[in-house]
Amino acid sequence: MTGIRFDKARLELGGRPVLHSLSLSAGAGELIALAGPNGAGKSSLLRLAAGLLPPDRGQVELDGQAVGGLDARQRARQIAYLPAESREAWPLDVQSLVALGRIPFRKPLRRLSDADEAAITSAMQRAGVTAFAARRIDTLSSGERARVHLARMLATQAPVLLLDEPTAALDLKHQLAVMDIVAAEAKAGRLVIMALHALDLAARYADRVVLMQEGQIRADAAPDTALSEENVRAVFGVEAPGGIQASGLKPVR
Amino acid sequence: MSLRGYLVLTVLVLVAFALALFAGDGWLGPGALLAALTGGQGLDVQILRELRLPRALLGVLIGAGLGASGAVLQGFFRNPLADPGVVGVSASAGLGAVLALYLGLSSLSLLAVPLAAIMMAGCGVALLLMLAGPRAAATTLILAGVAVGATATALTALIMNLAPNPWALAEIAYWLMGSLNDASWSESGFALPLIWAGFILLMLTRGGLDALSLGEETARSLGVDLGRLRLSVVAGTALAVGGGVAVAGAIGFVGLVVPHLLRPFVHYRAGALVLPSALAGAVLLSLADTATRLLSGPGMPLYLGVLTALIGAPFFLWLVRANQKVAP
Repeated sequence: MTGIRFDKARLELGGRPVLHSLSLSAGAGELIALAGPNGAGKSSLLRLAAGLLPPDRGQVELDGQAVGGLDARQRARQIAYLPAESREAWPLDVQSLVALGRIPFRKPLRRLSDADEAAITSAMQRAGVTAFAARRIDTLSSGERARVHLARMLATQAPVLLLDEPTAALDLKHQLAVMDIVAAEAKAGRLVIMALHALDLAARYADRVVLMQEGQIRADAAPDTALSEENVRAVFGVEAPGGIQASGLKPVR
Repeated sequence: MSLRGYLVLTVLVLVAFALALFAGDGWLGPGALLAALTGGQGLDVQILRELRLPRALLGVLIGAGLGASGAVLQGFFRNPLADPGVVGVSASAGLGAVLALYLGLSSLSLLAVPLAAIMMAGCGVALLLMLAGPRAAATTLILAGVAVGATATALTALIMNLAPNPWALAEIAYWLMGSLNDASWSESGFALPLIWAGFILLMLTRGGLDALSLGEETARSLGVDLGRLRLSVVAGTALAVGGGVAVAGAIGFVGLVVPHLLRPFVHYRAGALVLPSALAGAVLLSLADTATRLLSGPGMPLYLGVLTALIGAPFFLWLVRANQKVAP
């Protein structure tokens, strides 16, 4: 079983601690939402999990092996990561952009294999971007672009998906679309860890909410417990009578 | 790029190469080539074998090196304005050559100037990597490159300032304008392996360049080793451009214009741009060199670097305007 485990991980950036002695374990099939105010350490946690930063103390492990010790390509096949802001340097077409997700599998000077093509097609279908496969990314709306980047991540077929604010700057309908796509991946047996500001979406979709405050985990529980009135007041400084409730929003069919 | 695109570029390379062989003050026919290949004698054969062939080969190779370096640097820096000049390689190589000319080393050996140039290009790259540090982001590298280039340019100016007589100054100035006038087999033999090695390194960066089109963080999450990629980019550029500058002097704009022109044809994929840019760079430089030979009158030589800059600069301005909506 694929799992990620943090064991007393500590991270300092510029001499300032951003994560203190953080312990967390997560297994396949879980959808975990990281909630917390800006600067709570959500993105740093994801970067540690993705192996983009090494912990200053403690361990971050994938299936019992230190993430930092894995060969980079091997790691990239196991852990897919979607940063908060994906800015394209060139106006690629959608299909080429999604194909970038296959880089951990590519051999130099070879064309895409059949397995690559199949993974790209399937990822585009699951993310619902097949219809504009041939369009250039700079002609799409931000909602469509978010889904294209999601498809790029899915094309890797990694068992662990890490997403940093995939719904930021999206309208309601696109937020729901992105969450549905991600939830389907978790249901299919992948481990999904995502930073999320939309607490109602976290309450509705996540199996577990990890509530973070100043580099520490304040609560790690089912959504209704983690996002209780008390916790939300303490962490966000906002009154939420009765705690955060799952929204009943549904796209019109 | 589609197979047809490659076919067109390959045919263009062959045409440009043939023009470089047969066109000139004395137009030669394929008969002379046949005679040269079968070990014939005569003036035509001599011209072809000793003058035109090494020069044509060098033109194609240097152009390919400049085109490929330009494509790789633009992909690596994610900036369509990057060119071999930005990492300071050309200026460093130029400094080496100028130093050798100033010290009169060129009278010792034909290869003294190119050797000094390539050694100084290596020093420039080492300085660049030292300044930028092992984990430098693209912006830091560009700043370090500009600093190295500016230092080399300043020292070059100092040497010209100190030139003992107008004759030495003219020699340096002519060299800096870039030309293949002195191309011979010994120069080709010197530059060919260097440029070829650089070209291989540049070709190996293609997957990394693709990944970088989504930013450094995404590239790393896709398993790209940015440190190794940076080393390949810098070393590949140093060899491919340094080898060319060493024998031909500074030739600008090829590395800037060619990738820019071809980018839409490869659907803006950074990695797929490298090989077509090499081919088109070969065509452009080869044609430009043939043009300088045809346009040069007796006692009035036209320099290759001057011609590429004259064509390149306005063309580039036009491209920038035409692509304003596309450039990020």
